[in-house]
Amino acid sequence: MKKALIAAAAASALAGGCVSVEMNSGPAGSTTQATRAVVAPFMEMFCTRGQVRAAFMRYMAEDYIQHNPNALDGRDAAIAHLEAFAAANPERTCEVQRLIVDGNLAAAHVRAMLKPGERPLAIVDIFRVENGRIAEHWDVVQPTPEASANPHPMF
Amino acid sequence: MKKLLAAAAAALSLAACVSIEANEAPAAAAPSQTEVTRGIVTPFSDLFCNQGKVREAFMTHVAPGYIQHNPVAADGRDTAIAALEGFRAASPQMTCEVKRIIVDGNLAAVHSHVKPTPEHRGFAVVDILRVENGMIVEHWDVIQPVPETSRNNNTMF
Repeated sequence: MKKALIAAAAASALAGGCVSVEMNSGPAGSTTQATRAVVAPFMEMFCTRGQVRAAFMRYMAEDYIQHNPNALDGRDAAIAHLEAFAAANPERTCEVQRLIVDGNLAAAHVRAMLKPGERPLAIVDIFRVENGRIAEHWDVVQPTPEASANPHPMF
Repeated sequence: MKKLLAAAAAALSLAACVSIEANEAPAAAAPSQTEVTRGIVTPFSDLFCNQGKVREAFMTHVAPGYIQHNPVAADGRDTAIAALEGFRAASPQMTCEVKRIIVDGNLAAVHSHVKPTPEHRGFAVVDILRVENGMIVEHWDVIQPVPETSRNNNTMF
């Protein structure tokens, strides 16, 4: 009788009666993973592949809060602004240099070129993710200068 | 009888569960790379930016051979200290406020607002730092003047 009970208990434990908690991916770790799972594909679609509308419709919240001083709040305003921008710069390039993800925030360091032959722009986009969508955006944008005091690119 | 068995099995399985985890959990988990990086970049940013203590921040947390990607500065910690102390000396009312820090593995992004004087709109800055062997070894940044007008009411921060 006892043997059967112990065997049943062991089987039940192995079958997932236990919830195992990984030491380094408790609540903070899983939020970071969830944020990365939104921001990485968003940047691939929007930046690398230049698919503005698809990227925004899929990954941005409708009432997205905008901190870029040249843009209005909201996803639809961002799409309109960026589609116009894309149309004016059909040969633009956008390359993510590094992506830093931490809890519900992410920073993307980007090298963008509007027109071939022009100096590239250095950009950091910061995103806050909430309920599986990008809810807030900040950025800092700087044209890269001709000369540098060090032998490294801005990237 | 079956119900009793099921209930007993469930109780035992929970007990077995707890004891399995207790035996497998390490005594103290080593901090992740992200937490190590956070433990360097947070005090560095507070000293350097919020408190304006350039030399102390750099001497404590930055490696001598610090690789510099900011185009107006040469490589190296001492060059950085000289340049940044120079800015502070030229603008004694300068303020710097860390808005958010984002840390991932050996990289961190620090978003801050720098104002040469209280009346100046200031600059939005993101510093990106790479940490190695307990020190900051590489730095990139992007700097933008805060414009006079904005199409939204949210500030750049």
